[in-house]
Amino acid sequence: MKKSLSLLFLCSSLLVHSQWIKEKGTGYAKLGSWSLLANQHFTDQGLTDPNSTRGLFINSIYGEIGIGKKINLIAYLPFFVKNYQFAQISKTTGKVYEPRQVFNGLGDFNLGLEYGLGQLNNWNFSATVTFGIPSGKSVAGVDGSYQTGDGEFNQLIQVNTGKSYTLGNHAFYFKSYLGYNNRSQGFSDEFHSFGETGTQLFNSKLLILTRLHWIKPL
Amino acid sequence: MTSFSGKVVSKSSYRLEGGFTLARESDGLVLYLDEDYRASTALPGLYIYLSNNANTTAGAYEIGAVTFFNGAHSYTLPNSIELMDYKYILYWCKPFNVKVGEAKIYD
Repeated sequence: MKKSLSLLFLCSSLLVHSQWIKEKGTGYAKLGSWSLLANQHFTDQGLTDPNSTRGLFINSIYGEIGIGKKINLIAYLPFFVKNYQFAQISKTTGKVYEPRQVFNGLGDFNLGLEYGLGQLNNWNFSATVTFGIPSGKSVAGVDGSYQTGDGEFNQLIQVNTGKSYTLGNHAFYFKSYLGYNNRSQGFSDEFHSFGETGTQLFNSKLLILTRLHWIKPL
Repeated sequence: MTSFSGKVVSKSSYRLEGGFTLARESDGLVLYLDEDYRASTALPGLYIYLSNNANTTAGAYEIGAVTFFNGAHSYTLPNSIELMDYKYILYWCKPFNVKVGEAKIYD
């Protein structure tokens, strides 16, 4: 039986820190939703196996605000996480042998502080510390597998840099960071590297970007 | 007939292999896994069942969560289960309802 991987991204919202520090009292917030539906998964052999169709639907608020001359407060609040599995129905008898399962709850909140380090040759530098709060449920649902969080406390320290540049007459931006995530509860610590470049079109109504986020467990 | 023997084989890309013997002992039915038994530890919830349908755990008898992943071990089954009550041993990832492997007890 061949099944295809079904991925449905309605809207992506990643916790990405900028290195341009906002002035005190200014900032922004954005509401984000994304959904993932999958009927295959990668195994420990690097191959794909079929599984019962599982879905994840996350709604979140992300915000940054200046709270000092060079300090921003950053928050990522996944306030509604739905983890669910489709009902399992026999193709031969039509009988439901596994009913639909669902668990709704909070996800893991991230709270961070970003400090502006300054500018060097048009490159802006900042440093960020982010705390991953285990506000979600790491064991949830009928069999414990409908988790909305990983149950561990993360501490991610990173150095960010970025700059604006032009190609022709068009303005672009580039930003990147290197980070170390200290994890608890026996999870592997991680080395993070991240790069993103993009530009705005149609009077800043449309943002086009590409990004690469590489995480290496240590 | 007091026992059946065979091989556990993977039906997924997770490692699962090894010989088995299902035997009637004086104190009940016992499922023995041989020294060559190996199972992946990567699954979040590997369970072992006895079933008459190799494709579902519906109606199957759940022996329990797999806690041995390497080498010989055994499961003592309730006296209510007879040697020929079930045709298959199933290994199943319970949380994600994924078949991992099977062994045919008898035809």
